[in-house]
Formats: sequence, structure tokens, C-alpha cells
Amino acid sequence: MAGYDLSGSVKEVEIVDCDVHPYERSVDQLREYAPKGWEKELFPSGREISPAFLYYDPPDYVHARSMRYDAVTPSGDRPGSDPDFATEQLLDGAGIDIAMLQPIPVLERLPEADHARRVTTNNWLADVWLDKHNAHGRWRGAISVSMRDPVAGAREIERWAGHPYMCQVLMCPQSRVSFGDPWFDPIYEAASRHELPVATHVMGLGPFEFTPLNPVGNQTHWHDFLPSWSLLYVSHLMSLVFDGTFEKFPNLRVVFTEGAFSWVLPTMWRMDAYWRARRSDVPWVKRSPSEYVKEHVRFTTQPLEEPPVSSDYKEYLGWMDVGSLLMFSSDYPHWSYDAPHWASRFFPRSALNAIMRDTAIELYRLPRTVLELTSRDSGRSMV
Amino acid sequence: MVDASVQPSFRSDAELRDYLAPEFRSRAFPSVEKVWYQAPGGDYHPDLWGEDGVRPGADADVTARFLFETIGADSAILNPLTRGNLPDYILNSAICAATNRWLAERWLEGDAGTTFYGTIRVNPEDVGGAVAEIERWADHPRMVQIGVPLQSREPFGKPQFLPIWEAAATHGLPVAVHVTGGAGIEYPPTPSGHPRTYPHYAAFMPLNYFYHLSTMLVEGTFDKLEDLKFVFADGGADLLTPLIWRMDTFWRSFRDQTPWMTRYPSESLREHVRFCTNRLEGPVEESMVSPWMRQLNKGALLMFASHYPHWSLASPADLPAGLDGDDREGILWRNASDLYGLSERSS
Repeated sequence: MAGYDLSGSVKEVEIVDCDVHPYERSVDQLREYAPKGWEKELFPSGREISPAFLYYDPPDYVHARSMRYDAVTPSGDRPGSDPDFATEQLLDGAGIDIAMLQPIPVLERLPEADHARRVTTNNWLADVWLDKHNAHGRWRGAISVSMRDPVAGAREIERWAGHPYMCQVLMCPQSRVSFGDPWFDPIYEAASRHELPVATHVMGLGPFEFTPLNPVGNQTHWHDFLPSWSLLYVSHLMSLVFDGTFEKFPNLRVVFTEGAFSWVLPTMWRMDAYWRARRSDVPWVKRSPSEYVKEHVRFTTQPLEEPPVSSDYKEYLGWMDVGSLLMFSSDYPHWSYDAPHWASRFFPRSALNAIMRDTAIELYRLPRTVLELTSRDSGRSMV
Repeated sequence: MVDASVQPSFRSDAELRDYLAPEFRSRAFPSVEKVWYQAPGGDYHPDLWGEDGVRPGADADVTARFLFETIGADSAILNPLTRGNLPDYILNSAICAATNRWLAERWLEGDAGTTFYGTIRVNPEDVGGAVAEIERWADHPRMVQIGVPLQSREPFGKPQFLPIWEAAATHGLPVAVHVTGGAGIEYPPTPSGHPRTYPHYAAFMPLNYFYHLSTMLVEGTFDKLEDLKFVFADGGADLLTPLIWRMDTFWRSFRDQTPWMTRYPSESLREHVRFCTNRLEGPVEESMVSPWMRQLNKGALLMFASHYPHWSLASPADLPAGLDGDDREGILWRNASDLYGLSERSS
């Protein structure tokens, strides 16, 4: 690997970053990986002009595409599009030992195109990030599947199961079908059979049909729009519990990414109270909802909140079983990035190792050591 | 003790028709029960069905005995449901007008009316009609708030609703938001589509208040109308802490788009927002209750509600152990009494 000597020692894994976003360098790079016959449809090359779903305006999109300014690659390419620069900036620079990559493929209009887009993404991720630029073995990937075609998604899971670096399944939560709906069963069946967790990540900008629709109408700005994304996850979590998904698939583990996590505490109370009051409505729910959550669901930490009274946050986290439920994430290279050493200050000492690495190591069956990254320039690592 | 949310019922649709203006008496409208999301076993508490088969909440004397004798309320705020967001907004406003006349005549006068207060129901989709209805009832000594549905096609922070909130604020009347019955033009109850089970529906639906609240804060509605107060009557204060913290966290980064937002979102809550309690939310562990309440000063925001005659019926005994004395007093009566000016009204 250019810039690093990997023949040295191994080091203990101290930090696993559970949400890192790889991007293709260009449309041309991605097109090579499209399934046969889909190249023209997914990557039109006539006079079509590339559009963007920009009807909500996220912070600093115009100047920086909502990315960290300093994450632009040395060759001037998009942040997150150069695995070697990401190695330098995130793995070496920020001290991340293993990074769980979550690509965000665009949402297509037709289900078969949405599936083909995800097949493309999986092919590209496996080749560029998990093979050609993974001599250090630090990158882990996710098998993207389409929320629009779970049967095809299950086939895709079969295709990649057993790949040494594909550690989970990844699905978008925005089809307006709740996660406990039997519609998704083929994905859960394949994933849990192969002991792969199913992760979900929100798509910030997408078509209206796949933007959460609530019974109150559409919000005006990104500022009211963003905090309410947590309610999408609240509803999906309620569905997984009350629809009995974890009874049907006792091996299934689910990861909610980038949706915050402090909402989980009152949601567990609420679900438990409604379950106790209405048990006969859902006889297939055999245990209390909070028990299912603790056993089957994990949440990534970014973005951490900064309450008006900062001591309230520590108190609040003390009420949650953060050592079981949380896994550190940075969201590199987005503008809302949480640096690991900054984030770790918020967590109770007793839960720190669990949050920064142990829970992820257990969930994803990661190794406890990785190759040391020793810079060729200085002969020592940056961390 | 003040019971901040009670839903009185018409005995039947025929009774509602009697109060409708003549030109609407032959119109069809939905029943008050929700078609898809009625609770298995019915929405009303099973113990409240009288032997005469009268709908729970329809008899003023029976209701008064339960609230003022059985659970010990001193006064109760009545907020009748309407019939859904009907595409014929004129008919919908007529239903609101009929409901208000019925409430005033059958509930707010006479002996049973001595400790009942009422809600002026209006239709947000008929702005002119809503303002007129507020003007019609604002001076009634027992009408203490405006009532609107939770379900909407646009969040209440959007500018088209401002004249309604302005009329409410001018008259010192809070706006109570409550899940409304019936059937109408409404989007699915959750952002992940239609729930498959009743507990998913019932546990999630009240939380939709946050879409209204977040937009109102970002649009600066409370800055434009300093006297405006909103009450989220189905509850949901349990999710308030994490969600408002999230808004506070990103407030500064978004100010280039919303420069008129001069305060953190959390700073507007005490002056402008209240929640009714719900016995199915919040911490159960005694040691957690008091510190939980202190965060975002929730003790000042909550008002006890029985939600009579709903199956989730509560009494003061359902308030969590561990509440400190001040918070308990605030929740049981003081916050509602202050909000609605009850001591001034009864003197």
C-alpha cells in the first residue's frame, strides 16, 4: 500500500467506526460495475443532464456538497472517493482501526433498476475498497439490497455471503413499508441464516415518493426536517417489535445508522407500556419490547446531541444501557462528522470499550487485531 | 386537580344533525370512530358502557360524577372530537360550529356545567371560517381554548394558518392539538407507512406532534405571535427531550437559512408549549422520574389528563412515583390553571 509499510507488527483494535461513506470517483468508474444490459439505463450518456434531488437544502451543499472541506482528495476529487486518502485521513489520522463502509446508492424509480443499482454498488465496493485498496484489511463492506425487491435482495445476499470483508446487509428505510412487514422477510431470512446483521441508513436527498411522509405534512427547511428523521426509526423499531419479526427470526440483528439514539430510551418505555396494556392485540410478542431491543438492535452514535445543559447528556446516557446498545460512528466524510476522541468523552467510562469497539467486534465478528499502519515517510504511525 | 383533556361524545349522529345548520342536515359524514385504527374491543374504556347502552362520554351527569367524584377533579377541559379532514371544508366547518353549539348548550350551562370548561373546535382548512368561529365564541366565559386536529396536510407552522393562531392569541386562547376521529383526507399515521398492529398505531400516533412543533419553531411562529400557546393533548412529552436536543444541536449550523430563529428551539418551550400527560409514557423507575422531569423543565410543561372516556383512561394515581412535590402540583392543577386562567374565570 502506497505510503504505508504493512510488514510490521499488528496492533490491538481500539476503535471501530460503524458509519463511513465511500463514494465513486466518477460515473465512469461506477458504470464499469453495472450488471450486463443495465449500463445505459443506470448511467445514461446521451444528452441527459445529471439531476439532483435538491428540494431540501442541506447545510453548505452549494460550496462543499455537505462534506468536510478538508476531505477533498489530493487530486481534487470528491471526499470519500479515494480509499488511500481515506486511509491516511481517517484510519491513520483519526485512529480508526476498522471502518464499516456504508455506500449510499441513489434510489431508482423502478424496482428492477433499484436492484441493479445496488448490484452495481456491491460490485464496485468489493473490487475497489475491499480488494484493490484493502491490503491493510481495515475496510469492511455492506451488501446493499433494494427495499423495493426483497426477493432479488435475498439472491444478492447469497451471492456475497462468505466474502471475507462483507460484514452486513444494508437497506434504505424509506419505502413507506415498516420493517416488520412480511414484505422484507426474504432479506431477513437470508441475512440471519448467514449471520449477517441488517443495517439501515437514511437517504437524505431522494425522490418525494421515498421521503418520509407523515400525517401532518412536509416540513419547510432542513432544520425541521432533519431532527424528525429519528421518528422514522421510532416507527420502524415499533414495527419490528409489534409485528413479531424477532420471534420469526431469532438470529436477526438490526443496526440503525445515523438516526441518533437518545430517542431509544423513551421509545422502549412507551413500547413496554403499550405492550402491557394491549398484549392481547399482539399475542405473538412473547417478551417485553425492550428485551427485544436489547438483544436484537444496535444504534450508531453519530450525531451526538449537545443539549442546552451539557451535564444533562451524561445523566441521560447513564439511564440507557449504552454499553449494550451503541456502536461508535463518525459519518466520515460528511460535514456532521464526529471525531472519535471528541465523541468518546461523552460516554460513561465503564461503557467506553464496548461503544468504541467491543459491541461492533461481537456483532460483526471482527478480528481483535489489525495490521499496524507504519508511514513510509516517518517510519512511525501517526497515532 | 384540573383534568386537561376529556372527550365528550354526541349520543348519536342524529344528535349532531340536530345542531347542524339546516342546509347541512341531509349531508353524510363519517362516524366519530376511526375506520382503520379503532382499538380491538373499541376505543372506549369497557367499564364506561352504561346498561342503557349510551355511548361513553355522552351523558353529562355520568361524566361529571366520574370526573368530579370518582377521580376527584375540580374542573375538566372538554375537547370533543370532530369527524376527520373532509374535502368539503365548508361542511367540516359546519360540523365544528354544530359541535361548539352543542357543547355550550349541553355541557357548559346548568349544574353539570359548573366545573366544565370547553374548546372551540375549528377547521384549519377553512381559515376564514375558523377565525369567524373563534370570534363567535371567544367571549364565552367557559370556552378556554381552540381545538384543531393533529392530522393535517401541512404542518401548523406554515404561513396560511397564521390568521387562525393570531385570532387565538389575541383572545388569550391556547390551541389544543388532538388526534381527531372519523375518516378523511389523511396521510398514513407513521413515516414508515401504515402500521400493521394496533399497539404500533397507538404508541406512534401522538408523536406526530413533533412535525408540527419543529416547523412552528423553525418558521418563527411563536416569535410572530408572542401570546400564542399550543397544547399537544395526546401527550408525547417523553420524546420531547431527545428530539428538541437534536434541534438545538443543529440550530447554529442551519441559521443561514433561518436567520429569524434567534433563540435555541428549547428556549421557546416554556412560554409556548404544553403537553397533556399519558399514563403509557415516561419513566417508570422511581429514581429516574425527578431528574427526567428536570431536563428541559418538563415539570412546567405537563398537565394531567384522564382522556375520559378512552380505553387509556388515567387518574392521578397513575402519575409516576418519584415526582417531586412542586412538579406534582404543577401537573395536577397549577400548569393548567395558569394556562387557562381558571382562577380568574371562576371568580
